[in-house]
Order: sequence, then C-alpha cells, then structure tokens
Amino acid sequence: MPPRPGGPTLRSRWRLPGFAPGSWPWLLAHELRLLWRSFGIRSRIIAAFAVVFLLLAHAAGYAALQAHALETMLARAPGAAIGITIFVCLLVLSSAFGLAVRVLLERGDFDLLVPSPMPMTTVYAVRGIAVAMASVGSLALFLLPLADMGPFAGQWRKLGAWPALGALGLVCASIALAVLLLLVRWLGLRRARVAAQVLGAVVGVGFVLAMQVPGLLSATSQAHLQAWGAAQAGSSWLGSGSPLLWPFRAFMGEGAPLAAMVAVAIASFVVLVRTTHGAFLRAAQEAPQVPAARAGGREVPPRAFRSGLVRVVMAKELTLIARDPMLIAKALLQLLYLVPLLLVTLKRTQPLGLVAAALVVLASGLAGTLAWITVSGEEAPDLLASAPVPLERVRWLKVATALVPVAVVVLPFLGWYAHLSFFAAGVAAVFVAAALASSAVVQVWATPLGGGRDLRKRHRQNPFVHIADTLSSFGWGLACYLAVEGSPWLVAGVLLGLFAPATAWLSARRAG
Amino acid sequence: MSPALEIRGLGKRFGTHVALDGLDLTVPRGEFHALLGPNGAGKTTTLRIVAGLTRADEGTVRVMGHEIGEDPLAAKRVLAFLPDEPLLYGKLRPLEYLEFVAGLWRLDGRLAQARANELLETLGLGDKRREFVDAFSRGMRQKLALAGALIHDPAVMLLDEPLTGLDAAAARQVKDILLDRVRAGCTVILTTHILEVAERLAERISIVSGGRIAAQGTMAELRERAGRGETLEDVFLALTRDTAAAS
Repeated sequence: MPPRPGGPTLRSRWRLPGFAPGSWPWLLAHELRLLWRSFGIRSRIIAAFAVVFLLLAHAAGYAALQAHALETMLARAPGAAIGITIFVCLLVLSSAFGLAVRVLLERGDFDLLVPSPMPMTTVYAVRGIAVAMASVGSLALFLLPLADMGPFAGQWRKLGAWPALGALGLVCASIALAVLLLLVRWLGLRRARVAAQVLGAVVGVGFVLAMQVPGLLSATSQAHLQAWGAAQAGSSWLGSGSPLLWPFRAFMGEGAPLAAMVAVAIASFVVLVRTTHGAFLRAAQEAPQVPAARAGGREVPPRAFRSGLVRVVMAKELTLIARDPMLIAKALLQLLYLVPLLLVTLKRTQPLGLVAAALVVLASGLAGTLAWITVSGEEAPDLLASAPVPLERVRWLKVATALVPVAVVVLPFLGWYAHLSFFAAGVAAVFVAAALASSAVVQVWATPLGGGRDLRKRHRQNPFVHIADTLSSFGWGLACYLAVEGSPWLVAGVLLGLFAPATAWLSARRAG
Repeated sequence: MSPALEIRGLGKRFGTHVALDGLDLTVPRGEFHALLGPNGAGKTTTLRIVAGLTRADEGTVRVMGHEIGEDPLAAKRVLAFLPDEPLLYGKLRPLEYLEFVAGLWRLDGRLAQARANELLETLGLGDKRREFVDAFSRGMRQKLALAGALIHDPAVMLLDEPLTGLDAAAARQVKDILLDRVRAGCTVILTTHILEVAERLAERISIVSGGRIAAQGTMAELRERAGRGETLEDVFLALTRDTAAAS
C-alpha cells in the first residue's frame, strides 16, 4: 500500500540529508549522527555556549593572524613548534583509538549490517572516515576559526588547514584501526578492547609524561641534555626545516607539505581498507557473539557461604569490581592522567603541599568513579528493592566497599609521604578522608540505583552533581595544599569541598 | 487467619495514564493464582507494587497480614518476586549469586549453601557452577532467578511471566516446582499470557482489564459467568471484550 499523503512522517532533530539510501554518503551521515549522539550533547544551552565559543574563537583567530603568531613561532622557536605538532598529533591519535573501539567493538549493530546487502568494505571505509572526522573534532574547534579568518586577514592559504585537518584525522584513524584489528587478532575481542583503550590513553598522556622526564634528571644530566639540544638546534631534525614540522606547515597552508600530507593520508587509508577489510569482516562477524567473560573452564574451589548482610554485600561488590576489566582500565587511566602532576610535584623546587593536594584529588576522583559504578551500575535493583533490608543501608555498604580499593591505592603513597614529612602526610590523610566521605555521600544521595554502568554517561545522569563533585574534588585538594602551607585560607577550600555534598543533599531533597 | 495477599482499592497513575483503577484482590494462603489480562491491563504494575518496587497512589496491600506501607520489611521477608526479565549479575557465578540473595534475606550461610546446591541441581544448573551468568542463555538465567526466588523458602511467590523464554522441558520443570511449592503451603501468584498454563495450573484465575479485576473465580465459575465458550481463551476474550465495551 502506498504511503498515505499527509500521514505520519519521521521527525528528528537531525534528519539524514537527502543522500540515496544505501549509498556511502548516506551511511557516513548515519555514522556521524550516531557518534554525535554518543557524546550526549543535546541541550540547547550547550549548543548556545558552543556558538558563543566559536564566535570568540574566530575573533581570537583573527587577532592571532594579524600578529602573525604562527609564523613567528615557526621562525623563532622551531623546537616549540615541533613539540606542539607532536603533542597535537598524539592527542588526535589517542582520540582515534577510543573512537575506533567504539565503532568497531561497542556499537553492537553488526547483526543488522552484516546480513544487509551493503558491502562490508563500504561499511569499513565509512566507519574509518567517521572515526577520522570525529577524532579531529575537538582540534577543529580551536584550529578552524584561525583558518576561517585567513581570507579576512589577507591570508587565503590558511584555508589549507581544512584539508590538513582531514588528512591528519585520516592518518590517525588508519593507524588506530590497523592497531585495533591487530590487537583483536592477537588478543581476541574482549582483551583487545581494553588494550586499545589503555594504549590510546598512554599515547595521549605519553608525550606529557615524556616532557617531565628532563625535570627529574640530576643537574649533571640536565646540563648534558641542554648541551645536546643546543647542538641539535641547527640540525635538519630540530631546526626550522625539520620534516617533523611538515604537519605544522600544512596547517599553515604551505603547498608542498599540504599536498604531501593529503597524499599520505589518502594512500594510508586506501591501503588500510584494502588490506584489512577481511579482518574487519571477521571482527564484525565475531563481535555480536563474543561471550562476555567466561570462567575459562577454571575449577572454582568450594568455599563456605558467608552470612550477614555486610559481608555478602561487600564481597559481591568487590568481586564485581575485580571482574570488570573496563572499570579497572578506566580507573587506572585516571591515575595515569594524574601522573604528570605527581611528576611535576616531585621536583625539589615544588612545595610539598602540591604532592599532598595531588594525592587528595587523585583519591577523590578514583573514589567518585568506583562509588558511582557500585551504585549506578547495580545490575539487579529490583532484587535489592524487594529484599527485606533497608535500601539506604545497602547503598551505604556499596559505597563503603568502593572506597576500599581507593584506600589500598592511596595508603602506600601516604606512607612514602610520611617519610618526607610526617605533618604533611597527616594533613593529607585528613583531607583524603574528607574527600572520600564527600564522594560517598554524593553517590548515596544523588545517584539512582541501577542507572547504568557506562562510565561515559556518568556526567549525564545528574550533570550539576557531577560538576559539583569535580569542583569539590579540587576544593579538598586546595584545602589540603593550604593546610600544609599553614594558610588560613584553607577554609575557602573546605567550603568548595563541601559544595558537592550540599548539592547532592539538595538534589535528594528535591527528588523526595 | 489473614489471607496471603489482600489488596484494596489499589490505584496507580503514570502521568495521565491510569494503570490501576481501584483494584481489589484477595488470594488465600496456599493457593495457585493466575492473573490474566491484555497488555497494559495492570498485571505487572500490581505485582511490582506488592513487591515494593512501585509506590501506589492509593489503596492498601497486605502480605500475610503485613501492610506494605507500614511494615515493608516484614512483608518482603515472606515474599519472593521474579520479574519477567530478571536482571542478574553477569560477572557472578551461580553460587555467588545465590549466596548474595541469601545474604539479603539474612539466611544462615551453611543452610543457604545447602539449599543453593540443591536448587542448582534441581533446576539442571549443577554443571554450570563454574560459568559466569553472562554466558547463560535466557532460559538458564530464568532458572537461576527462580532459584534465587526460592532460596529463602518464601510464603508468597509473585512471578511475572515466569515461563517466557523457556523451552518445553524447562517450562515443565518450572511448572512442577511451582506445584510442589503450592503443595508445601506456599502461595503462588503468577501473570501469564499462556492461557493454557493458567487453565492447567491455577486454582483460581483473576482477569485484569483496565486496571481492575474484571472477573475472578475457578475455571468453571469463569466459564459460567461468561456464559459461552469452552476454553479459557473463549472466556478470556469474552470477559475482556465486555469490560472494554463497558468502560
């Protein structure tokens, strides 16, 4: 029966453009729509902020072009330009790893796509392009305003940043997909997912970590390193003519580097699709069937059942945390991101209070993640709600259990810190305890039981509480630093630290 | 002696939708009772309110004499609820899951362990002890959830579509277990869309329609009331059609 004129039509905030259904641009539009929605940016307020940000960024870009900021950096400080280039490329590569995992291993739509008449090579290529485009999304926010304002500043070549950005995304997507498929082949789907995410994070934070190493060297070694750097300044690799600067030059719109970058990007992507589409198909066929963590035939030694609510709840929560590799990976990544901060504070020139503050922020962040997953990630909320135990008590037990691994991670640091300064370690212990208590009450009061286990969605469930939790975390860190330094302004830090519990309490009261 | 379940004037709205509209239901102790009704009639909402998962807007619910609004823990202590899609812990093994459930009902560890092993054997999950629940099929998950519901020897069992997704052998096994429980004095209240199950198992049947009990009685009583038809399907369709027309 033909569709009734004036009948119901598909209403969507983002309709697919009018590409022919089944064509690759149509599929690409679909992929980009899914990726966009996976970030959860729907609020009109956020969209309004984005528009204001873009306007300001374009104004700042115009000012930078007038000052010839990029050319000045290239001529006067090629080393800094090389550093920025490597840093940006690694960040995009890190983002590409995360996106590749999401579209290849987490999307879960292969049951639909594999039996469809759409060629899997097209699906693969389109996913690669989507990863490329999404991985440079954040960079585009900062870089493209500069390019857009080029014609207004009489620098038309700056528009070359557009194809350069696409080329960078394509190269990084090619590397990420190739490595991910290799990991799938070596480790299997489940382990590959965790390995790729950890690898992506290490790539992202690795350069920052590497930059901290010289600061940790002895004075003699630092002098040697500086002398070597000075000697290399005029060399072909660290001078202004370095090939490492070609991406930088491509972004500035220089013809040869731009053409080379685009050519390398297209070639690498074509080679990737042609050589690995078979591996992609195998992964796609396997992905929906991958058994979620079996015991692997391991014999489980018989053990007597525990009695008592406290013991069974704590045992169950710790078991589930220990058996969640994704959670462990993400928790470790949180620690990894704080390592540069700890390295900075390890320099002897830095005050001891900074180390204590970093420790407090680290413990608070980790406690927030684990406490959130135990409450929000509850898989059987109906079971708990129908059990003859006060739900509030179970919530407290769950959150208290989540703090156990945090204590295990933090206590050795505190011990080492006490070796440096007993007073500072004591103050750090007090503020770590305050930060953990803050995280605990936030989760008990403001997180719905069984709201979901996806850590990416944590900020979406109650964005105000999540922002307050982050601010409180830094509040406790600040208070700790000021307390170690003996400043009476620590009260300000404490007040900021209490912001999240207060917000959670108000949120719980409003929810009834 | 108070009935196993006594519901008076139960009302529940979800926005503008009236899910329950003054539902009354009494189920005596030791009865196998089936709740039938079309989709959206209010069967699951009723069970969820009795289990303490959903708050009623009006009305009272008593389980073995305990009013759930006044003393919910006492009511829950004697209850077991099995939802239509039980959510289990994917990264726990069956015995670990049952240990947790037993802990929630504060069972002694040794007693719980013995019961857990017995239930796993009875339900054919004895050889699955080493596997995580993640690797279980739908039917195996349903059976494990049933084991969880049985481990504390409840006086009243509420089961929402307990046979969905089970193969013929497993469905037969579950039906036998439920009949055994009733013979042992337990009250079983289940919802089902499989009319044959209600016809063969239930001592009395309540037909829910439009958030109220449209008809209640034994199979013979319902047949007589409908005044037509031989099978429960005929009776069910006749009674629900009459109620829909009346409202």
